[in-house]
Amino acid sequence: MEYDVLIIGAGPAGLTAAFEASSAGARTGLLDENEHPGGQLPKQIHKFFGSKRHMAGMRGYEIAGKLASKAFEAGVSFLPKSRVFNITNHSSYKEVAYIYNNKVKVIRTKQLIIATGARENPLAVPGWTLPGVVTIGALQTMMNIYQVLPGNRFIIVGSGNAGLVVAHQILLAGGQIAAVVEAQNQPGGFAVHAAKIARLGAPVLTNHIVTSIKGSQKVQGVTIAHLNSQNNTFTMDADIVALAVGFHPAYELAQIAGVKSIFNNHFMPCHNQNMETSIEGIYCAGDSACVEEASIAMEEGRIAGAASAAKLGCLNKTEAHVKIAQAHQYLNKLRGYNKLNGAASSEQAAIESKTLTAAVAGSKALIRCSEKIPCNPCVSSCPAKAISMKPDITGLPQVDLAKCNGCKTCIAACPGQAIIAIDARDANSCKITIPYERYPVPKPGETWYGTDIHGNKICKVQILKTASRMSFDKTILVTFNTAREFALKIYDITT
Amino acid sequence: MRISNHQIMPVKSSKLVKIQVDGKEIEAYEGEPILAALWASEILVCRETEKLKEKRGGFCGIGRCGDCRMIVNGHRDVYTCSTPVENGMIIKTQKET
Repeated sequence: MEYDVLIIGAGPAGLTAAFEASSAGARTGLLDENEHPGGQLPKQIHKFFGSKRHMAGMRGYEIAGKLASKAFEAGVSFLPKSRVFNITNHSSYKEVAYIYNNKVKVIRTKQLIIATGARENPLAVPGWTLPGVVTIGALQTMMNIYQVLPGNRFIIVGSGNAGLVVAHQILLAGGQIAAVVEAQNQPGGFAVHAAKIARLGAPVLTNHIVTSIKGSQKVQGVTIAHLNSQNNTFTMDADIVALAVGFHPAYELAQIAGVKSIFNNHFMPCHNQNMETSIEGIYCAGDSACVEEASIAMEEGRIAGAASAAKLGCLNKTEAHVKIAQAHQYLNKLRGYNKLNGAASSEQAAIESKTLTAAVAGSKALIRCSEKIPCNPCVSSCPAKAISMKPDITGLPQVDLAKCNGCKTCIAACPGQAIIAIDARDANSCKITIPYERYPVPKPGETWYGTDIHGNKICKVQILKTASRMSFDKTILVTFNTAREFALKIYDITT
Repeated sequence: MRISNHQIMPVKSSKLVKIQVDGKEIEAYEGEPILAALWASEILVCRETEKLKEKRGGFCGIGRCGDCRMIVNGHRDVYTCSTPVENGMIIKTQKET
């Protein structure tokens, strides 16, 4: 017997599970096929949504580092570059076979947690096998870890958060987005992510599908069809097509072990409230249990880690019960949002004009976040406690304009880059401060253009100052001057 | 294309080396996946399918799909997306022999 608890997969679920099991006193091992822990987090260069408990506001690669060092400090032994290929279930232990350094190795564990993540869905349209058609994950890996882009002009198929976030990162890296193509009548991901690319001029074509990908040796373009009208197909040039059409649980190891599965859009392993599968002592957590997101993966990992430690007697049963019940409360909050149930555009317009009026007295924060998504770094970052959210994390943020002292801390804290500050003390002009993460960075004294919600240039702006602080974590706050009439029409700036 | 100026990502610091792809010398960073070096030099085609002779290139980027297989230092079926670059590697588009 080598381990009390063995976890396969060192992503957010696996790292959290390993921390929980090890800090309860279980001898804990963590296997991963990669050299470094973190799963898909190291390639995420954007600030994460959620709450402080899940390290929201930090960039994905920083969250990976934090989770890993917490687990290692708790005594977890990490087995990198180990690819598991078999699991056998015995009455008092599980046997896990893996390949390390071209050699087969076998270890035994009393409890096993499978946290192997998800796999990307392909999209079988004519031409999808052409070189230049890549998964969104492949593109993100190569772009954000190895800093290469396979081409210049990109078409993204699918506008879930993965498609929108990577589209934005392509723009940050200097690539062009020809279009993000979405079959539904609105972007699938969060509105703030869609807004970030829209205001840089990248179109999201809703109600459209890619019907074929063209090219002989490699991608040259795509044919796109409008879903609600006949004879409305057109072609668009591109050198890379990135598929962002969803994920499904990568739980083959659970299948090999004999775990029962169910079908709910995809096949996934059956599990109970403790994340224990149909086989006693085998747990699943994170995307391999059901594809959701990183905060949920962490909570599921916490449940599996605590439940497996409790079963071994390492963790007191009452303590485990409290931990698991608390994690379920968080899971309910994280899952219980309805992004469509947000603010109407008329309410937002009223908030904007009220903010402009209040800004005559000094700088005020304006939040352009109209969806009830589970995210609150704006609330927790505000030193004046001027931002609130009711009833909880899935409420809409509200700024108490009397309390807001214009400190601008929330602008850099917002993972959706959805907060600006307006200062209207001058009678004719307005000072606006926006978050900025692109290249080149504007310099004070330069003249740039203000752009509207669709990325169109609408007026000239004078750059007044740029601010960067450690706590802003590479987000720069750019303040510029503009005529009062454009104050609420500017969403971003461009050269 | 290499990403040169970026506000968030740190600047790359590993050593520049040379590798050969179908007889042509290209620059690569030691330790990066071979596929990253190919993409940086705008090389997208990795192999040709055995029966229909269709071109294939990197797809999943994490060692799953196998479409990025090439001949590396004489070995067939090397997953270029998950094999690190070493100085002087000889890489060839994989075709049916």
